[in-house]
Amino acid sequence: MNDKVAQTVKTKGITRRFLIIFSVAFCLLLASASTHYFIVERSERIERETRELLNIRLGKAAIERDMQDVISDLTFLARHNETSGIFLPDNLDARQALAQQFRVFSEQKGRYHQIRVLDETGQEIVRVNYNNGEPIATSETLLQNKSDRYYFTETWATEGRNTYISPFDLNIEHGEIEIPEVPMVRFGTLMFDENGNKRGVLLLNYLGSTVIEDFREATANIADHAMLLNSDGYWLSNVEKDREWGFMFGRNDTLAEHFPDAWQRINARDTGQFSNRDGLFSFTTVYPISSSQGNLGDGLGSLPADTSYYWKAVSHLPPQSFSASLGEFLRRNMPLYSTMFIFLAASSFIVALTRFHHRQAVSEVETERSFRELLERRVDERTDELKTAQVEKDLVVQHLIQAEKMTAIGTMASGIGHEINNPLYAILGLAEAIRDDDSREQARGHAGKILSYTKDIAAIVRNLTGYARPFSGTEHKPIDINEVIHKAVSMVKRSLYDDRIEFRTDLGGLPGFSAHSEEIHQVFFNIIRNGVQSIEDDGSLMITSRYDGEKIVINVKDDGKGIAPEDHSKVFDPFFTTKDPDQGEGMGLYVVHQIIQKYKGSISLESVVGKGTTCVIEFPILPSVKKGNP
Amino acid sequence: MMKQKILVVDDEESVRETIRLQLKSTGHEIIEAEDGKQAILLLGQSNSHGVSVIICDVRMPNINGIEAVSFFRRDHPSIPVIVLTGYPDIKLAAEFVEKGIFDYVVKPVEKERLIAKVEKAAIQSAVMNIVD
Repeated sequence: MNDKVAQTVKTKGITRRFLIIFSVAFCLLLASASTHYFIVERSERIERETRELLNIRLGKAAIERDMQDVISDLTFLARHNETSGIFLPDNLDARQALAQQFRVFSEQKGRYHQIRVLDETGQEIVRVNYNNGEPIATSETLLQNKSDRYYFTETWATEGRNTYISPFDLNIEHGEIEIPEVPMVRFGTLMFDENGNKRGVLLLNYLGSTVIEDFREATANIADHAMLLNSDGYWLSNVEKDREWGFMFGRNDTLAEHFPDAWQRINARDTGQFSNRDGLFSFTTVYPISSSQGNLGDGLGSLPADTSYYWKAVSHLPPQSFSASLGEFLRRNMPLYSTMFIFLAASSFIVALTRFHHRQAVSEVETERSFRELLERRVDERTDELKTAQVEKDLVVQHLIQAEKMTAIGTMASGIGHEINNPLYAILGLAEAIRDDDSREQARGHAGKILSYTKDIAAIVRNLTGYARPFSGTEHKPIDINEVIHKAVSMVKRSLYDDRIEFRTDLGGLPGFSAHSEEIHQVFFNIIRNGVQSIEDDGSLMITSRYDGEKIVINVKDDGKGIAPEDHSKVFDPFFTTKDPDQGEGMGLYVVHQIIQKYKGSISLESVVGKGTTCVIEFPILPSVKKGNP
Repeated sequence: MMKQKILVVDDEESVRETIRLQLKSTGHEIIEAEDGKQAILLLGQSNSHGVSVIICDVRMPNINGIEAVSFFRRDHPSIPVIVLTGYPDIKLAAEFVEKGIFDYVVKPVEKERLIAKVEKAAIQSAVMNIVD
């Protein structure tokens, strides 16, 4: 039961500590993981934003490079041929030569759907169609007047050597959108005569697919979300083809329609990047003309930039594409954090265990200490109690010894009576003789005897009263144990009716033993009397004493009836007796034992039923009292 | 009262002497034994014939008073036995009475009392002898 409780306490203690430590550790792990994620996310974001912007710019550069080439071609063709006499009405040769030049040019460049020259009335005077890589010059009769077309009027309206650039759209043939779609941008520039008069217009129908392909190539890294838009927000290039060219098909499918807020911001600035709820938008403005003209360097002077014509190169990353980076982060770092989690859990458990055991050890030490203190206090109290109890016990034992002694006196009263009554009787008889006889001489003899008997009686009484008197004081005197034994033997003898018991002694030389002689006398009187009482008929009692250098050893051996084995352990108990009630109260050996203990001695019995008993008494001699025989 | 033969059994000379002193005036013949064994031997001898009363002690060497009295009562039932003892012990007295003693007297006893008891015992002894 206690084990179970201890186990529960242990489990709870460890669990509680584990939870605390692990919570803290887990919070730290979360914090570091968060920081890690934040750093990773931030660097990824920067990388992403940089990548988007860079790619968009690459796209812009690609477009502008293309445009530069186109304008360079346009400028070259216009300037090279404007004074070659092509505008002279009869100069057919010059026009044919130009057509030939345009054909070669068209074939070489491979990016012009048409190369044309129109005169000031809008009449085509030279026209070369690309014709899918096999350029052909249109015969004079098939040349048309395009004076009503926007590209003629717009170019004609330009000033100086500026370039007109048409909106980027799809080619229309015979009033219908050419299928497959042919993206187209028309470039135009004025042609002048030697006098600087406007004589005509050079037009390049640029195949827009080239610029779109170049844009796509340049933005290949972000191909799935890079787009090119015109200034109205229509898609010129979109990964979703259906979205492209909405304005050509009457669809109001614009970025502005889908992301008005984003479009507003894109349109408001030249280049930039922003995130909103729709995702990350990176954008830049492509100026086909200004960029080209800025780089012309043909000695014709700097031309004012036209920023009114532009496209927008945009990348759009929808939120889900990078919000998924948290999942990605977790997926990538799961092994690391799983390991750390397990490590932390294990460490926390070990720390919890260690701390618990440490705490337990500390508390055990404290418990032990307080227990020890308590114990010491108890021991002190108990010692005091015992001291008191010992004093009380000593007193009780003292009373018992005295009471037992008086009982012993009672039991031997008859013996004493005999002892005293004999001389008393003699005195009586002698006194009567003195009273009745006249002889003075005889009376004197009787009186002498009376005196002698009186002294005998006095000695007996003195002996008895000395024995019966309670011991007073604690002062011990060196006594001769052999003498005490002699006295005890004679006292026991007196209590017997006869001398059927033979008393033998073999007493060796003993050192003085510091004690109350009455107590030692009581010991031997009791033991000898017990021995005598155990002898039913004739028998003998042998008493020996010797000193072995450390202790006095006395053997009292009788050949009486012996003590039954089951009674061996009880003989020193108070009130234990196997004798008749009139022979004693059973206190004799108890008192003997108490007295011997008092003198740090020992008593043991060896007994065989029917053979007799040997009682061995030992009294230790303390070094200070080993003074040889008294 | 005619002269009687009294057997005194006691190991103590002082006691035997005292009895002699106290009974001197009666003129009875006193024969002495120091213990039970000697007394038994004496009673077996011819000179002991005619012992009227035995005065016997209790505590004696060899054969003590109780054993001696048992013998006296068995072999000489007509001789009254007065136990004269120093033990004022009622149980011991009862034991002797059971054995058929004439009287149990505790020492010290006055001369007149002892003589009276001895005389009474002697009369009984005489009666017993006549009956025998």
